[in-house]
Amino acid sequence: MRLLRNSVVLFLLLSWSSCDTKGDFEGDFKNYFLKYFGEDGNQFAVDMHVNDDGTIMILGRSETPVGPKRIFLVKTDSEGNVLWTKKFGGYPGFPSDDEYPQDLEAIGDGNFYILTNVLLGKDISTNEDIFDFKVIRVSGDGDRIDSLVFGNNNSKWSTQFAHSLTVLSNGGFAIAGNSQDETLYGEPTASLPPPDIEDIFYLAYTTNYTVMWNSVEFNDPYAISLGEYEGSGVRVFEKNLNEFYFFAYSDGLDGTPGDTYEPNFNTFYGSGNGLPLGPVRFAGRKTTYDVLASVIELPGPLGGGYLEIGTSSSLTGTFGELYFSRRTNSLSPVNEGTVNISGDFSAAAAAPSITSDGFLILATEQLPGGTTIRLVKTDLAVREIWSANFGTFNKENTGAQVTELPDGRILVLGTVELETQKKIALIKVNQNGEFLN
Amino acid sequence: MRFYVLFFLVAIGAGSLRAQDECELILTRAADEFNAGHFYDTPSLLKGCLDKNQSAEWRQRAYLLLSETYLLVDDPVGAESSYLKVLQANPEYVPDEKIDPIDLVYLSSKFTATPIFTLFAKVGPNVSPVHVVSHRETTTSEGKYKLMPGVQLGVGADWNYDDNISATLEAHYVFSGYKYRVTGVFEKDVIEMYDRQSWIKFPLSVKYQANQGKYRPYGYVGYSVDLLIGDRATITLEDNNLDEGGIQTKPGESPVYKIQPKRNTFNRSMFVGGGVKYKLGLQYAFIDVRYALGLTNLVDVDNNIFNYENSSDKTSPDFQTSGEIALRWGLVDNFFRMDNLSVSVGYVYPLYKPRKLKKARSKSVFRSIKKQSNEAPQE
Repeated sequence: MRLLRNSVVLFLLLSWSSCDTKGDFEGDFKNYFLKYFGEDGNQFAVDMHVNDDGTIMILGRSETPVGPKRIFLVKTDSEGNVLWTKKFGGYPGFPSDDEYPQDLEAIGDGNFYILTNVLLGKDISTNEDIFDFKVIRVSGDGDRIDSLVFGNNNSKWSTQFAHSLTVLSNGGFAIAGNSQDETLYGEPTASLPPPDIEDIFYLAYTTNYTVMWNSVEFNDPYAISLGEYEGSGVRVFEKNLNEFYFFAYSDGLDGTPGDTYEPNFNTFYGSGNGLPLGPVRFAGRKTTYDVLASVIELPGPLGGGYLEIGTSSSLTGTFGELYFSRRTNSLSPVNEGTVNISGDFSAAAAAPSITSDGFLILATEQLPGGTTIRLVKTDLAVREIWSANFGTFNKENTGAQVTELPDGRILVLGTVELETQKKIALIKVNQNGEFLN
Repeated sequence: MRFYVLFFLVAIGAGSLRAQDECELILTRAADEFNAGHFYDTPSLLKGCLDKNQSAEWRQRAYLLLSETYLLVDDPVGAESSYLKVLQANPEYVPDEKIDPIDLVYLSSKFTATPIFTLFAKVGPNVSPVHVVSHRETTTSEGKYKLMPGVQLGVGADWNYDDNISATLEAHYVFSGYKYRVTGVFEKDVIEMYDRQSWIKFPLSVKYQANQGKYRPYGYVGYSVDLLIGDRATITLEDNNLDEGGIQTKPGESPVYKIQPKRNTFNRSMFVGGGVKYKLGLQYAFIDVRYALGLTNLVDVDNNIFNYENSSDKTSPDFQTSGEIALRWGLVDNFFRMDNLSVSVGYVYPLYKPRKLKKARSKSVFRSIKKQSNEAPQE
C-alpha cells in the first residue's frame, strides 16, 4: 500500500514538473510579433525609426470619421508595446485641412523631424490639389518643439508635394519632392511633348529653418531641368555640405537612340548651393515607366554606394516589376535590372541586410482581389533568396518601411486592412521572414 | 394461425412454471432431508433440477445446501465445487458469520467473486477554464476568457487490484469550448473568438473506493494523454467609431476557421476526481466529478500565425489564408493551457469472476470468530 502511495505521489510530481510555464516561452512574441496601432477609422503606416535603445518611432496618418486627417506618431518599446501615441496637425489659417505625413527622420540629438504635406484645397482653374509642406521638430517624447511651414515658397509656387527629408550634418535638412505647378521649370523641348505635369525640386534648410539653397531659384529663371513632364525628387544624400547627391525619377531623355519621354531613375550630384553639376545618370528601361520609390545608402560591409528601388510598369501609375539600380559611392553604375520575382508590385522601401550580405525590399503586391505586403530578401546582386507576404489576399495591404535589426531580425511597417478597417501594422520576423524564433 | 402460436407460447410458459414449482418443492424436500441428517440423499434429490435452467436465486440456495452437505460428508472437493457455483449464481453472496455454520464461513474465505475488470460508461457536461502561459496581444487591449459548456462521453475499465484499489483506463470523446473576448481594441472595438474543440482523451488513474453499502464513494488521481482532433473558431467583431451621430458600430463575423493546424495535437493533463456509486442489483449507477489540469500549451508555437509546416511558399494563397485570423481579424492566440471540469453520470458493469483464492483469507475469519466468542455472554 505504501509502495502504491509513493508511486502515485512520485508520478504526480513528475507530471507536474512537466507542466508548460511562461519560462518555456521566454523569447516568444519578443523575437517576433505582430502589432497593430490605431484609433477610430483608418490609420496608414508611413515611416519608422529604430532608436539605439531598441524603441521604435512610428509615423502614420489617421483618418477618423470626424475631423481632418492627422499625423499619428507612436512610440513603442522593442517588443512593439505602445509607450505613447501623439497626434499632430493643423495649418495656419487652415486648421481643418488634411495632413499627409511623409517622412520621419532622427536628427541625432534625440529629436526628430516629421515631414508632412497639407492639403489646402483645389485649384479651381486646373482642378489640381494644392499642397504645402511642413516640417515639425519633435522631441523623443513626441512633444512638438517647433515647425516650419514652407508657404508655397512665399506663395511663388502654387503647390508642391515633398517626398523625403534628409537630415544634414549641420542639423538642418534637405527636402526632395515635386510640384504640379508647371511654372517651376520650362517645358522640355520636343516635337510632340506631352503636357508638363510635374516639376522636380530640392530644398535645404539650416537647423533654424533658414534656407540654405533652393534647386530651382538659384538657377533662375529656370534651373537645370531634367526635361521632365513628370517626375519627382526622391531623396538627397549629403556627401559634405559642399556636395550633395540627388536621386529622382523623371522622363528626361538620356539622348540615346530610341529614347522616349517615359520615367527612368535619374541621379546627379550638386554643389553646396544645390546647383546640379555633372551629367545626369539614368537607369531603367526605355519601354517602361520606371518610377523610383526609395534610395538607401549602403554600409561599408556591403561595399558602400547606393541602391535605388522602384517600380517598372508598362503604364504610368500602375503596378509592375520591381526595378533596381545599384551605384558606387561616386554614383557610377554597378548593375541594374528587375528583381527576379513574378507578380505585379509597387516598390515601397529597401534596407541593407548586413547580417546576411544582401538587401531587404518591401513592396505592395497586386493580387486579383486586393493587395498584400511583399517582403523580398535578395543577395548582393539583388536576386531573390526568399519572399514572404503579409496581409489577407482580398484586402488592401500596403508596405511602408523595412529595416534589419542588429540581431538580423527584420522589422516591417505596413498598413493592414482588417475586416472593417485599416491599421498601422508593425511586424517583426526572423531572418527568413517568418513569425518564428 | 395466430391462435396456435399463442397457445404454443402459453403452453411453454406454463410448462416452465410447473417445472420451477416442482424444483422448488424438491429443494424444500432436500433441505428437509438435510435437516433430518440424510446427507447422502441430498445431491441425488437435487441433481435433476440442477441440470435444468433454474433461477439464480434457486441455484444459490441449492448449491449452498450442497456445499454444506459436502462439508458434512467430508467431501471438500464437492464442497468447493458447489460453493463456486453459489458465487456464480450470486457473485456478491457472503455467508453470515452469525447464523451460517462456521465451516461454511471458513469455506467462503477460500473464494472470491470480486471482479478483475469492471466496465463503465458515462456522459455529462463540462467547462474548460483557460490559463494563459504567455500573453501575445496584437493591440493595447484587455482580453478575458469565458467558460462555455461542453459535453463528454466516455467508456472505461477498472482493473481491480483488490476490493478497494483499482487502476482505471478510459477513453473519452470530449467536446469543449471557450470564448476569448478582447475589449478596448483601437480604443473602442471588441473582438470575440469562440473556439470549439474536439478531443479524444485516454485517462489512466488509480482509484480508491468503498466496497460496502448501497452508496459507495470513491476518489482517484491520474494522468491523461489528450489528442486534439478538431478545432474550429468563429470570430465576431464590433468596430465602434465615434462620429457626429455618436458611436456607430460596424459588425463583422468570420467564417468558421478550422484552426487545428494552429494547435498541438498531443497534449497531457493530470486530474483528480471522485464520486459516488449507487448499487443497482449487481451493477451500479454513479455520478462523477473530475477536474483535469492541462499541463501543455495547446498552441502550436511554430504555426500559430501562419501555417509554416504545410507551406514552403510563403506567398501562396493557401499560406496567406492560414494567417487570416491574425491579419484579417487582428487576433493572435495567447499561449495557454486548458483545464477541464466535468460532471458525469454513468453505469458500471462489473465482470464478476468467482474463483478460488491461492491463499485463503482465513485470518479474518478466525479474527471474527474470536471476536464473536469474546462478545458471547459468560455462563
